[in-house]
Amino acid sequence: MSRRTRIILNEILLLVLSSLFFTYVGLYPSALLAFRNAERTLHYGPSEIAHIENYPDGKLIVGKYDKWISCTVIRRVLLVFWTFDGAALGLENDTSEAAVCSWDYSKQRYRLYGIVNAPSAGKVEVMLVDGTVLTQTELHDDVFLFTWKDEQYRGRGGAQVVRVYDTAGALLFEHEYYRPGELGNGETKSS
Amino acid sequence: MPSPCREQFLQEVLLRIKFRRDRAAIRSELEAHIADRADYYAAQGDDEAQAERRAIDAMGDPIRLGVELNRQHSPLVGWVWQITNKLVGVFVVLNALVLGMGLSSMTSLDNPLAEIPVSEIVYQVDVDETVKLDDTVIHFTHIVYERNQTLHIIYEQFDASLRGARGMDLVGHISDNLGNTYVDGTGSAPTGWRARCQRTVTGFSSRAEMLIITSAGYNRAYQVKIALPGGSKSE
Repeated sequence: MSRRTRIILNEILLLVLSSLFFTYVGLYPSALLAFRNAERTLHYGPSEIAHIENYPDGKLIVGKYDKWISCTVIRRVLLVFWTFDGAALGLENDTSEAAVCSWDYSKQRYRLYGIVNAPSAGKVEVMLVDGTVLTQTELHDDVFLFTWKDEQYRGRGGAQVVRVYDTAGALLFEHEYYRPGELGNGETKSS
Repeated sequence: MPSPCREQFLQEVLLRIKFRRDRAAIRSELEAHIADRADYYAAQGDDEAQAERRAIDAMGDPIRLGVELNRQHSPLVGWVWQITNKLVGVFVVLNALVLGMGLSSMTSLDNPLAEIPVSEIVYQVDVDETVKLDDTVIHFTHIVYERNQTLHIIYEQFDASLRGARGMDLVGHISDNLGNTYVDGTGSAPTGWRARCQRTVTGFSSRAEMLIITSAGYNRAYQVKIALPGGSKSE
């Protein structure tokens, strides 16, 4: 058997053995593959991907599945692999509301995500407990996503209020998490 | 000990082999060829030195031979071959470790039944009900009911995709034919390829004649109904 034939056999063996191993340990060659496998493992989806955003050490994927939306963190590991690193699944989209939103927190980072049902929506605004205002004027399809780092409050520095405005600036939706001046304690308070 | 003449021939050839890792093997092969030919000439009546000289001459021009062998032993192909060999070895070991851990988790499974005192068992039902959620297979095997109204649901869980059970307890809501639902109790999360798990509920009615296990979420659902001795038999 020539050396070239042996190399081909080695490559086939490598493909099979590495696929088995990486599948078992949950490492995938692409973020999308890791996302799809994570959803299947969590018995959710498959989601339609509404938005992908770069995130420290990985990507954030906002997905729409039936009446639910999700926000999944996919992390890059060992330079070339991707793995599932947490997800907020199953936020039900109540289409009678102008918008629906939720948030998630891990590794000193907040992720606030949601979906806008009002066709006239033009701007989403998030006011944090420290008074910072984050704004998004371009929706990704009909979903929005905000991320911010929170070192000061250690998981208690979330969003105080989320507002959605139409293109003329009229308030369409307001969701208050904490009263002004109150430090977030993890509870959600609907307005 | 090779003669200076043979050694010079070998060096002339080997100097042209750029992939150094193959030089030892090529050297052995050439030495064997020369020895075979020298034996042949010696058998024909040549003395030892004459036989070896003729054998070396018969091998041809060492430079041309070296160039030809170098072409066959390309460094690129050589390195790829060596690296893929090593990688195959690494992945064989890694998969063996994973396989070993999986098998050891299967062979060292606790038997929850063994921990329930026989004197406390009111009834035990052997079950063979299997449900599948995506790639996860749940196989209900036993139901054990104790005098203190504790019901044990014993099941095996494994992932058909070889991803391994990921610690999700997929046994859903527990209810009975009398309309009671049970939320108090304990459960064990599955680990490894094939996990033997147990869900325990307390305060289970002794009059129940049907155990109903229901799971529903994100467009996935199953319901398992298991007949129980119940009623007067279990009083």
